[in-house]
Amino acid sequence: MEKQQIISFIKAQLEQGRISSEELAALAHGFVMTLDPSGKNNAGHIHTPTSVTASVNMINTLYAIGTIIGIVGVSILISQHWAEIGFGGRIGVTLGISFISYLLAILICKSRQVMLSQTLFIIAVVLAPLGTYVLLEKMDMTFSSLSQMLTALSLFVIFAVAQYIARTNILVLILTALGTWAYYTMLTYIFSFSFYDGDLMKWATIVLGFTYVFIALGYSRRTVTTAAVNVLYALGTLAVLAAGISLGGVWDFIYIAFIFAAFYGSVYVRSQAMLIIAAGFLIGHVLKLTYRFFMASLGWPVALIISGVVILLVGYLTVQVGQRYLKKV
Amino acid sequence: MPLLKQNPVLVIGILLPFIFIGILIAAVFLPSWSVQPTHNFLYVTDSYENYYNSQHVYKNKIIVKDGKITLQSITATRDSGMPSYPANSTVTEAPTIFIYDVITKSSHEISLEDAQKLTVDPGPVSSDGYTISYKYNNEGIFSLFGANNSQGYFVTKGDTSRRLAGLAAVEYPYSFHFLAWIQ
Repeated sequence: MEKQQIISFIKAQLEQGRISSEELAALAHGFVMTLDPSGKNNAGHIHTPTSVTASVNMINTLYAIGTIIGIVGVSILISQHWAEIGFGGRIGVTLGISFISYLLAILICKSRQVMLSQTLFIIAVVLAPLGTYVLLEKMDMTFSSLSQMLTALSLFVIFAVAQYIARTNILVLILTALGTWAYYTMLTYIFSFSFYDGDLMKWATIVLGFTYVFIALGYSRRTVTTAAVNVLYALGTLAVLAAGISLGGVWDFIYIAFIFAAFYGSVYVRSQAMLIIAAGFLIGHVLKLTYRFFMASLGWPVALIISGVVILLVGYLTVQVGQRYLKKV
Repeated sequence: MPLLKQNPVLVIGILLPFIFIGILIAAVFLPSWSVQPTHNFLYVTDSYENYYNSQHVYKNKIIVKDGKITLQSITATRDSGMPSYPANSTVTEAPTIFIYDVITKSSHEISLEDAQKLTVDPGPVSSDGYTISYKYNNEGIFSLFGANNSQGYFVTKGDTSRRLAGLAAVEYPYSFHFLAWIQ
């Protein structure tokens, strides 16, 4: 059977509904399908073969361990000889390795070595700012907020090109990190014309947290839920709730709405991390409010008992919500 | 705007930081535009108090008396039996005076004789309600992002203030000394 005939056959089966596009996609990615025995439900259940999953996980784990050990070893070696290697050597081990890693990562991103490609992107993005610092130091320029902002924006553009080519999850996180760096340096640069305001920085962090959550939500609509999406949900929730808890004043009460929004959001986007972070901050906030408003009137033993009961209740409800709404299919 | 139609959540997420920065720029720069002092002022950039350890010491300090700049002799010794300054120090009459132009936002040196011709107000509040002060704030983790300008000298009126650009080089944070507003 010729290739064109095979494609036509599959197309016909798709049109007749004998096979679904999900099953076809799963087949292409090496998954195993358990079809409904009655044959009525064509979507069926999709399972990844255990042996294949274990093998892939093992390779990924080895890549991760190898990368960490390699980076630590190289860092120690370079730091021991930092003074001796001179400017050329410093640029070579920072910007040079970063550039080579970036190119290699792009070259192999479409091959089967996706994990290795992502690892190389991490090496490239970690070394690039260090190289820029070395370069600026040589030019007698300080790594000020303005130069950091320009560095972050330049790297953002460079890695956005990589994302356009490679479309990998790690680049979503790298671009988010570079965007965050550019964001904070831009804020500090603006503050250099005025006076640093800690409260505004807290609000800036809350805005950033919402940005992470929205980007994760938008990204998950374009593709399947990935580790990158889950990391962004977790970091976004952490940023909003960590910055919000320190606002104080009337925000102590409005903050409760933030926490329950996070609980609701965790169910809506099915994020276990968001649920756990919300539960943690609810416990922290209850303890804070109890200490602030009830310690003097009730005395610390009664306040302690109330806090304990609330913590038990929050823990129980968190587990219940997790099991009922977020349990994986 | 195809992306806005396809994925409005993603677009909102990306736009949020830009909106915040826009609001911040307005909040920082709009009030500072209302800070428009009308009087120039005089200042010096060297401390009188550290003269014992300094390689550059002065015989006199500059003060304002009856609306005029005058010199006041500095005591020759700090403590009894202790020399006033190291033997190899350069001794001059008084610190250099600078005049700050609030319109051009720049400073230039002015001779003692010219300064003494001016009628001045020692303040610290000018007749139009402005003060000059040093502000410092702990930057916390944000110093990581190069916030090395979170301290400095500001001209302030009420709740609004503006960083003083164009000051002459100040050797130490506290070596700036405001002298007087020019009438």
